[in-house]
Amino acid sequence: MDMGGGYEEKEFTLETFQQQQYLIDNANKMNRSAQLTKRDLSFFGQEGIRVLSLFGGIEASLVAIKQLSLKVDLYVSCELDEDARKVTAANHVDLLAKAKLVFVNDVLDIDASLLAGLQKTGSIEGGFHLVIGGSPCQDFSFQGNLNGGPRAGLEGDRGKLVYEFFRVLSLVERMNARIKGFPKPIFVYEVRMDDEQINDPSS
Amino acid sequence: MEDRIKKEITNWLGVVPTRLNADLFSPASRPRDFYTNLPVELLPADTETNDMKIPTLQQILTPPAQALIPKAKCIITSNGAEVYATGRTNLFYQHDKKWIDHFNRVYRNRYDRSLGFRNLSIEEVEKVRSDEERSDELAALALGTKDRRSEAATFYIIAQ
Repeated sequence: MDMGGGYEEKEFTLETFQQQQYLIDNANKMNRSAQLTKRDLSFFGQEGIRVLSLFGGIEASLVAIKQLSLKVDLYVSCELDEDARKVTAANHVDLLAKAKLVFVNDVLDIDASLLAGLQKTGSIEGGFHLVIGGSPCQDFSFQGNLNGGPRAGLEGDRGKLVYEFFRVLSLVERMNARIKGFPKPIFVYEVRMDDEQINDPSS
Repeated sequence: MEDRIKKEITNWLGVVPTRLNADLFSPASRPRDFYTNLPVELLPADTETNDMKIPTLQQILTPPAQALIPKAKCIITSNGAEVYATGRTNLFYQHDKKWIDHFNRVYRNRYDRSLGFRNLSIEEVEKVRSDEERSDELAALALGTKDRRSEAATFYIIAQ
């Protein structure tokens, strides 16, 4: 379906539908306030969850995963900022010592060969259950407008990094599809809100 | 964010965004659009009914850093400076003028329009520092010792 701008809308695959149905079914069986509990997360296998975090910052997501008492088989943190990587390393020495926390400095470095190497890292040879990230969104909002000019948008140096999320997600989807029995990745991409809210300095 | 950008992301990911407060999942308290292939029904509706364990600001700080509030509105990491989060006001300080200039340049628009943020001069920064040294209360807010601060892993925390 053409949604304007000449872009074609992607179709949901049967695999995506089945994955969602699985999660919905499980959710319906549970108390709504206790969503995403261990029972639901059996989806991630006995060896633990394998996560690829893009633009990961200090990896608060990893804190959340630990709080869910999820076993982590592999957590790959991709973050350009060296200080942020050091914070993550300091906060998760337990995983670092077991080589279950791996750093990739630049999202541009992630390609099929690097993913193939990561596939063999961890307790099992596998893909990624979860791909998460929120690329820099300054070009979508106020910071791209500092000089009164138009926002750089998706063409800006930072804005165009959103395509890196799409590219890497696509690579992971293909990698997972090649591994027998490995589910399609769940993805979560987070981005800033609408323009009308940017006057709020807290946002 | 422009509709064009939203459509582009939707086209690539095959889902429409769901707006939620990030405090449902993270130490940050701010509205964000989430694109995910997880069913929306699985996402918590609000903090009142969400009894999942959610990371707090303290849990992402490196000891001996002390968080004064459970959630920060904006969390930034970089080298050579700290920004303190307090419950009363926005208080931050930096190590050098270079950083102040950088911070002011990057965030000028935000500060000019903000409710509580504003640029600090070097003199104000130094006053904040001396106040901190004199005040036990402020000293208790310190993110770490000076030796600790000299390490690269430092935080900027801007919050109310």
